[in-house]
Amino acid sequence: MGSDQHAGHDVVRRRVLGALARTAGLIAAAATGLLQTARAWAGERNVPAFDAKVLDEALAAAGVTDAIESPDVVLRAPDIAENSAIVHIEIESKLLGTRSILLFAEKNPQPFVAQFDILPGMDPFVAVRIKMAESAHLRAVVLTDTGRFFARRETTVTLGGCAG
Amino acid sequence: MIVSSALRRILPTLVTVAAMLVAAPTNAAPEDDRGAMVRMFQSRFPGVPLDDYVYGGLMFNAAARRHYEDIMAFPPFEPDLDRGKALWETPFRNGRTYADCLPDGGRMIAGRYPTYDAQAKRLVTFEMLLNDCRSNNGEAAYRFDDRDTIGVLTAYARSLSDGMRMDIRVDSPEALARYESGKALFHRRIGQMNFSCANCHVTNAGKIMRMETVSPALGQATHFPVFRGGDSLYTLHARYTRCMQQVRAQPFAMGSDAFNDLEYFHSYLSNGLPLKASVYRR
Amino acid sequence: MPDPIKMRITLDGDVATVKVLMPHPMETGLRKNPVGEGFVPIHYIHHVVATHNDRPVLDAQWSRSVSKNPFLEFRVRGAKSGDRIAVSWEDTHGESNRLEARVK
Repeated sequence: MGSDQHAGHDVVRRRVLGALARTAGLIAAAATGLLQTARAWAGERNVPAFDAKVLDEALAAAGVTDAIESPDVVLRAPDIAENSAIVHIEIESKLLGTRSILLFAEKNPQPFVAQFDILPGMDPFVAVRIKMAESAHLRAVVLTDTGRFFARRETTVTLGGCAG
Repeated sequence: MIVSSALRRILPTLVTVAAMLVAAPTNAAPEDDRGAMVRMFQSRFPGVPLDDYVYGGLMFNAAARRHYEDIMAFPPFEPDLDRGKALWETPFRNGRTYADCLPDGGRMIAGRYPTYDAQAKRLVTFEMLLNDCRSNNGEAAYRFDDRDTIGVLTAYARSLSDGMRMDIRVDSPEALARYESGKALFHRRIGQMNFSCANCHVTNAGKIMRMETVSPALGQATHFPVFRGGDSLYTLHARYTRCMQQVRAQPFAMGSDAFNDLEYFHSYLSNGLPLKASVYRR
Repeated sequence: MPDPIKMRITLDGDVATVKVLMPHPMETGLRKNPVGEGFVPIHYIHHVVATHNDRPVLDAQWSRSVSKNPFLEFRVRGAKSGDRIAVSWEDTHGESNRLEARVK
């Protein structure tokens, strides 16, 4: 009698636990879905955007074609990059609720260069060094709680003849 | 009384003149060269502080200079410097180190090289000094064209002299002969393109050639090795090699007498300017 | 074994400015093999995470367009002396590296 009752208990326990787990899973999935909608791929790699070979496609895949140009997105980059292998770039957002900073280099084989998700406690500022295939415009797009904003600037790459 | 007071007045001048004649620094001719070059550049680029010449082409472009400072704040070639430091600090098999060989443990000395060793009758560059240390302690000398050994070692070891003002001496007729040989090479047209160092780095300094601002000869020798693009290490002789290739000339060997002599003259031009090793260049 | 990450942290008030250098070849796959045929294979850091006292503050996705020996600078608020900042990366070969340093 003992083992049968225990077996019965186990089956019930497993069913209850299973149901609870599935419910928790559904709740978690829903929460994640909400987060994704609000933060557009935060924490996950937007592979289609990174794979895009043309700027317009990359912007579309990243969901930022409707971004508005804003002086509150500050993109600092050299006017002339004498060596395209290393261009020092700084991006700062003065917009409240900044969640992510995205960087594009128009003429790179894949224009989507980087995405920085700004989590609570981090200033909406980032500096990074990138390769530029050729003279092009750089675009920094900022995702905030309330919208998408960008800044762009032209950087000329000199191919250089004497640097070797 | 009048005669002696007159004599007293001119005596200091006479003594100075006599001292100059006696010392005859063979530094005299090099000093004339350097002085003439400094005056020429200062009249061509008025208002540019002499110390700024160490930035080469960057001295003409504030934005490029700012980008340089951004890179230098945390340069991408630090791992190479770490490798150089490891080579510098690793004792030879006999337990001695480079610091044991070099004057003052290797600190604040690079500005004196090349120097002419009258005893051995040879012109000694900083890289040769490092290799002499190796040879004198039972180790094989490094090849002058090897980035991974002499390159990174020099990149680190020269940085121990950062801030030192270039202080090349030409103290004997033999030394002067080496200096003059280097000076002649500097002014000699070479290669299919028939350019001399002077054509670009004196006559056309500050102008744009092949989409780049040409650096003046003054200040150049202070800032080597360079890391082109932040990652390609070029010692001074490696840079000479590249320049010769670019005018379609057959380069001299790194560590050759020709390049040593050229470096002697070239470094003398930068006397008084501050050294800084291992810098970023495009 | 990748070269160690280098980190410099400066504290101004409660803001820690963190500068990081991550030695890595960041090969694009477009560079010709200097010896022999073909191209040097793709090999780059694609994911970087920074934490402050183990709490993620930065989560970055990178492409091969980021320069060799990547540099990264960011600022953390609410920092104080003794806090821990950690930076970790993962690359396209599945290799990873991490460094933790203390705010002075």
